[in-house]
Amino acid sequence: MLPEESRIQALRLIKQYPYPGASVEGIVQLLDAGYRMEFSNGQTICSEGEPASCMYVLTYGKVAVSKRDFSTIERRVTVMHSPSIFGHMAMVDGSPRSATCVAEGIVTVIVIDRETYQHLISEPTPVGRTLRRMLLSSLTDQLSRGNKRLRELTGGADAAVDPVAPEKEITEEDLSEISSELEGWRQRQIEDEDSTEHYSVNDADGPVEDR
Amino acid sequence: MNDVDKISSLYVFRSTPRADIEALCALAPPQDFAAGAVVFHQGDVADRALLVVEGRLEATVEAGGRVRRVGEVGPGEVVGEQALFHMGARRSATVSVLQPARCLLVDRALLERGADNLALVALETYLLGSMARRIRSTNRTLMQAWKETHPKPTVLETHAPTTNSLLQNLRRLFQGQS
Repeated sequence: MLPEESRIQALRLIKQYPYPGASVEGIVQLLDAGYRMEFSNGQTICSEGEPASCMYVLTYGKVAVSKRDFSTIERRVTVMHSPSIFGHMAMVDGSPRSATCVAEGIVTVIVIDRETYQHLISEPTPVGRTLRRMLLSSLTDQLSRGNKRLRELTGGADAAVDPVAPEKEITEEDLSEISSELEGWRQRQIEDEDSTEHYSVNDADGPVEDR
Repeated sequence: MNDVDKISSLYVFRSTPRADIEALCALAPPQDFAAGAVVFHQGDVADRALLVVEGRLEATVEAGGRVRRVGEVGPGEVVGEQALFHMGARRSATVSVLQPARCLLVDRALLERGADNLALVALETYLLGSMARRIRSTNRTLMQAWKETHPKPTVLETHAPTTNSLLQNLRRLFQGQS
């Protein structure tokens, strides 16, 4: 990835996952520690139930997320936009993939494999700190949004503090939504003025290649 | 036993060099809280977490005019960690002191000042695991509640969910977790 491109991605990631001591340099180093992969429209990035060997930083494009529901029917639960991190829960707790991710159009990700993850996660370096704190920022957001939605639906604590919605009928879609928020598949959408779309100057070719 | 000894004996810091724990104590000296003191109020803006060094804290939630106890934490456990990584987060529970406690106050400024401190690295790594466990536990609770309400998948296809029954199940299960 070009240095300028890395810096733009870093700024966008800081906006998406704010954390104490956030540094562009730390994120640039993290992106450099992984390797870049491109997927074409319809290609599967990871599959539900499979063992996980890496996490991803989505730097360009959109990824459709689907999960098998209670009736084991595969349903689309959300579409992730860049910048997002995904597949990280499996790195943190060693669980198998909890959803299937498919590229919608051309997609570019930075892959951080398990070996790199394990090496960095306990390092007292800027890149190690970046990885830990970005993941903590994401997990906090996941837990907070999932719990809030659950409590809104059940009339629990958060609904009392912040009564944004009355109790309503809970549907299977509601449960799927909460579950996906908890697992980090549904992510907060940021208002992004620094879009990296500009480096995809040719839609047919996707993002420009590293030079 | 002094603070450094007590903190060194906590599981989360089992592999942390003593020098880093000494440095952490210099950056953020542990503080005492008397029994009955309220350390966090539900609804307040959250700005710090507490790592319990000794003593016990209890969390309660007030909803619909009722106060219910949702959990208890003791030495080596952290409470209020969402404050560190979620700007503007509000406390979802009131935390008060059950038994006289000594705690490390961890805020965003400490994470910035002690960026290279190995005790904070250990704390962050511990939080990753504990938050992932809470997420999985909440998810399991949710799925269990649904399954108890809908024992057979075919029922889903032929009958609309019995909202009241599902709500009751979710409330009961959700109240059982911290």
